[in-house]
Amino acid sequence: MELLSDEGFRFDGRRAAEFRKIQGRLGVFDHADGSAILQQGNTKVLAAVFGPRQPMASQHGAVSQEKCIVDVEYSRAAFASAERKRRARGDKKAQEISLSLKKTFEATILTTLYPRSAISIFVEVLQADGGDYAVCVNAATLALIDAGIPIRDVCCAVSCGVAIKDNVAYSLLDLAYSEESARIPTIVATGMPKTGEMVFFEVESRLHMDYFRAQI
Amino acid sequence: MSTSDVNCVPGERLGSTDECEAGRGTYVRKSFIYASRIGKVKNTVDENKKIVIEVIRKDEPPLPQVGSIVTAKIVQVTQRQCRATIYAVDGIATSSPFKGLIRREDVRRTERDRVELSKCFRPNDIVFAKVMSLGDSQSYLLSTGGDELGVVLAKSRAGVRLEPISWNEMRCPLTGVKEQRKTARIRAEFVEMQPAAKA
Repeated sequence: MELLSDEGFRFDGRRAAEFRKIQGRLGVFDHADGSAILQQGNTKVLAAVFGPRQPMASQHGAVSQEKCIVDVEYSRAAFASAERKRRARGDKKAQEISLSLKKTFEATILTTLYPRSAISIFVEVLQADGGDYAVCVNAATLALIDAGIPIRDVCCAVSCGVAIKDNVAYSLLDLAYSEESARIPTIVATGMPKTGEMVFFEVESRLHMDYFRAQI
Repeated sequence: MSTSDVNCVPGERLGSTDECEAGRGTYVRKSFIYASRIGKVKNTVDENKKIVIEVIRKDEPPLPQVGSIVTAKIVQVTQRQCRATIYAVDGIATSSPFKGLIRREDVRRTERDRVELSKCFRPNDIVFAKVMSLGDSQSYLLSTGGDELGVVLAKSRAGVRLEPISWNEMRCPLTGVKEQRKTARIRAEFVEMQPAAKA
């Protein structure tokens, strides 16, 4: 299957290094301290931030005198994908994503400013059309900014696929579901653009080092 | 002293530590000052003639810090300690209530070992207290030692707001009954403001 046409276009008419349309709104949720809704193409994620607040009874074991606890809960609405799925809250996949989001934001938030407090981030995928993880990171960053929580830098994530055409590797940015399901090597990278640091990096399949360099 | 109209986003470089100092809303990395939140850049000159760079945000709910004066409501009084819920820090409402704890020996500065907590606080009293330490993981340790700390608002058995008459007594204006409290000495105009802050 050709992901990139001879003219250099993708399924949805984008160029290889072109993003989908990005739309976002801050402060959508009155109840939370900060919230954001972000849509990249047809992927839509709602993020809500609570805190810094007093740790809940279940978090007391993790309380530290030096820094605050960052808790992330990822969930996916039953109606998010084409097939209606009722997933239990906290299944293996969601747990893994929650954990990597937690690691990401522990590195992003200036946690030493709020000792003995907790910051909770909730992300909910409302529509899934590829690049869910990356959109979750971006939405959660926007919600953190809305909440006024001190962060090192605007933390951004992008998903990226490798398409090989005539022995040349092209990186397809911001994958849509149709491209993700084509079983191509996919990279998810989270970084801080101003400081130039990489926070989180994930490759879910085998990828030749030569192509890997081309991606970066 | 100036608040410029320059907006900044987290991660933006605002200056170097050679010339400036990092204030609130900023952090230092490799001797440069970066913004850590969204807001307006404010430059002030401190007493050392150094420029302090801050990022100002309008609505910033406070957190209790060591040394800050908090407004708290007494929840439970036992013989040894008294639990309170913190609603405001330095007169500004917090985003969510925090738990506080006043130990028997922290109620007043003199005769600390003779304190009887039931003669100092009652549930539902509003007190001013100072944060002594961050305490254990459950609650902040508070102290009401000092003239200006203690009960500021309390209701009598008749349901009327009590008036302070001395440092350890309050009187009900309706029935004239005296009740014992560790009262705070506060300016009258400030007491008038309190009901609004409580609500």
